[in-house]
Amino acid sequence: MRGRGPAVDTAGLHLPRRALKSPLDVFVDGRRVFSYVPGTAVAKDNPRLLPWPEAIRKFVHGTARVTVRTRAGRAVIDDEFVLDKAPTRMRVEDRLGHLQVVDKHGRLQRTFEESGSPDTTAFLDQVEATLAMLEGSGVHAFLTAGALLGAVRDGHLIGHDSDVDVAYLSRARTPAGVALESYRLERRFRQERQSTRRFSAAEFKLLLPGPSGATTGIDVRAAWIFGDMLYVAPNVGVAGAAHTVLPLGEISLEGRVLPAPADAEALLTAMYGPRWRIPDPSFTLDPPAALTRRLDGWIRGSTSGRSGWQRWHLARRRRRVATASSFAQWVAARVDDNMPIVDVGCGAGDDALWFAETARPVLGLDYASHAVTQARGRAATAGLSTVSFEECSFGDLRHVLAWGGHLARADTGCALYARQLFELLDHETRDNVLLLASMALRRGGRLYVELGEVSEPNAPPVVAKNARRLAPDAFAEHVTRRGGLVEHRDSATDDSPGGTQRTRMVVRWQR
Amino acid sequence: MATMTDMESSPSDDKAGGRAYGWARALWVLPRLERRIEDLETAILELRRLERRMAELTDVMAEVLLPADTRDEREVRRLLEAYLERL
Repeated sequence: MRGRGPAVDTAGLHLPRRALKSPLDVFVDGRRVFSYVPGTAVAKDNPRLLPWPEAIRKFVHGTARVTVRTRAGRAVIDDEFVLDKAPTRMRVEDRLGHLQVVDKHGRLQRTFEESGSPDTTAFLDQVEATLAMLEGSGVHAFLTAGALLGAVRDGHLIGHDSDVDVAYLSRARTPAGVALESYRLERRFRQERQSTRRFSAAEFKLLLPGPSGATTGIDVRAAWIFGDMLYVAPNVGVAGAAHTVLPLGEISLEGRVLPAPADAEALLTAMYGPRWRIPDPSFTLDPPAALTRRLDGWIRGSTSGRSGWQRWHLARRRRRVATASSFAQWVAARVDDNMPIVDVGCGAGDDALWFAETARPVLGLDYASHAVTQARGRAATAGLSTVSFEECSFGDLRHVLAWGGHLARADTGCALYARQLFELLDHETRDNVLLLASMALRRGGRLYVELGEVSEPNAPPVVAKNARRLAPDAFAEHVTRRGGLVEHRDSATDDSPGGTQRTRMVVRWQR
Repeated sequence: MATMTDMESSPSDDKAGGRAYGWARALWVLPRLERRIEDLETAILELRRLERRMAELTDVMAEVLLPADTRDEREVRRLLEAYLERL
């Protein structure tokens, strides 16, 4: 590390304040690792320090040639730095050794500029197949967003992009119709054994493994026209752009001829403004507040907070079965040994795995796929065969009703277990979980709930910050409105440092 | 010399009085308008959310409940499992 002027160390990049007033791209050994946008990410107590993004801090070791350039190409820093005593070069890579970049959402991604030809070829085959399947399902599908930008600019995928976006023009005339159509289309892909992940009622992602083992994605986004407004999930709504989509034309992307909107440039201008021709890895859309409110209401809300939990679980992969909570032990003492337990909001499975150690049937449900994957891995490592983990979005009535119906028809009753769950949910999702409980426990069994304060390190910082204390009386009232009967309730101060108040309830539903 | 009585006032006094009244009314009305706007925005959000919930309910009805012969428990279970598989 150098004493004066621009410098780089394990904390981050020390830059002149003037430099931090412009967008910057940061390269390590010639590879871009992240980009900076003014007004973000500078350390609060040191306005000259641009910290390393959280996603790559664990890679900041050894030595590296660090280059920081403005968009005009001027180098603010370009020098060798010794970050610490590790004998290696700093390298931001995944488990398979593929170089990665921090995307504009703070996530590590493998971008197209790092992908090899076999991966890109296979991926483009998938893009063509996806567009064909959408057309075969009765909707007009076309390239959109980054894929369209790259195709129009120079016929290539944008190097700093990590996935491809395709859209289809919905035939629906209401937001409910748009959502129903999206659900139907996703089912088509899942029937073909494709992995998907849903982001809103109008958008889902196809998860595609490449030949080298890296996973890429194709975002499938609904576009719809209401009046003279063209909407494209997740955050585009422009007046007077309805004519830019049909009749579809064609455009070349990496040598493939793919469907494109009728007036691609007009659509890109309407979506991104007149500067869309200038590549900007850190560009993010800034939609009007009224549009965000409208789309929040129509298509969002079923997966609130999930991305934060995904990152949190990914950063905390654990290998051993952790000790069960005191609540799990309290519940186990009250439930018959062979009664199945359903852990609602199971996370990475700490309590569910402990319940399964006595060979009791256990089901863990959570909406974070990373948590479910880790829990499954931990169960396999521990040789626990009576526990299973499944994804369930409690904010989505489809999941709630299907799981509620499934559990109601099980051969035996069950116990539902919810620790540090209800206090993290909004009112609608809380109501959904109580609906699930009322269905699952109709033939007997109990819901066991522990309420308390949720704080770091037991939750992502933004979740802990936004979690409001759920008053036990208010929760009990809600249970009663949902037809439940609170059989037991007690409060105590737990044994955490500082001692927080916790409340336990046991609820049953009558037939 | 003319005197002013309680019932008389000059034009400038009328204007000043009118402005004062306007300010007072604004101070009283504006917070209420702001609260009304917040209530309306909350109501609009709730109505918009009903679109998604209606789609979710309709999907379950169409994919599970309507095709099911509800007398055949095995068929209902099969449909539920297939639906969960494709969520």
